[in-house]
Amino acid sequence: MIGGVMITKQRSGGCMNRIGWIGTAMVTSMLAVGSTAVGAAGADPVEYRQQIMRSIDAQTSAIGQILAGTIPEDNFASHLEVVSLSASLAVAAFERGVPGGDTLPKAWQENVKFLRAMQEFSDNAAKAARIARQEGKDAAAVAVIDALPCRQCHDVYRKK
Amino acid sequence: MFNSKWIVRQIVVIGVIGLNSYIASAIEPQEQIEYRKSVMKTLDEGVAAYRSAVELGAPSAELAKHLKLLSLTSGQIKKAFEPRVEGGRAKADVWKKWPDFVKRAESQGTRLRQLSDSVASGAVSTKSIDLNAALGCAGCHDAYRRPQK
Repeated sequence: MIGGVMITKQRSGGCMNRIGWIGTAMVTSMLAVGSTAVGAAGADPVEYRQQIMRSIDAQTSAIGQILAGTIPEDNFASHLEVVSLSASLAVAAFERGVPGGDTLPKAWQENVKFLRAMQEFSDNAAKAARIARQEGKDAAAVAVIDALPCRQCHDVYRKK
Repeated sequence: MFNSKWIVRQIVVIGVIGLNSYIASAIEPQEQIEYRKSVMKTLDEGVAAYRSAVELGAPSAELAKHLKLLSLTSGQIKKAFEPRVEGGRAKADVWKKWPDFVKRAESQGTRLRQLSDSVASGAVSTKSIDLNAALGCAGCHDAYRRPQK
């Protein structure tokens, strides 16, 4: 736990004390499964937000590797920009208000609060990306922790 | 027993072994492979999300964001593949024909960025977008990716 952010290592055989694979839990829990809600042209709104959250998952994994020092930081700011964009798309996806998957009813009951948290996530990731772009990885590290408050949302809005 | 020539040779050998070990340890192959898989997975999911958004009738501003996301992710490919670490589904040709690989990745990023800008400004209708052409995935995958086992 660092600054309120649970940092996990997802891959087998890895050492737990190394920062890596941030946000695995943050993302996977919100992935909805088995919704019956289907869009007008056949697309599933729940699957849509799953796709967005899986993008965030993949990018946070990359961010974790860079923070762990196993991958050069060249793409660091770009990863954060993608996370920010994805989070803002997640706001739009959840605004469709289709329950299902692992999202708890509370996300819909507290929809304004939930969407505000998601938007803050996007804003903070964008801020971290700006810092990373201008001042480098180390300067952005603290902002990254603020930008990825996975558990704060998952503990409240995601099925265990 | 040990002449100076022998000692110098041993020092050189140890130095070379040490240097090789250092280089090998600087790039952890599995880390690098996982990293580029994350980048490519983002592209896959991003494309799927874009298609879902189109089907769900998302507004053009939302679609433009998807295209920007794809453009940014495409821009990550070069650095993700730059260290020559063979493995995963990447063929050795990625590095043997590195300039071509990079050119294709950069072209994809440029096409997607232009598309994103055009959609955001309203210059292009999302209905007229041929995402497959913009992505050009097949051309690159045929040349540089092994088939799924």
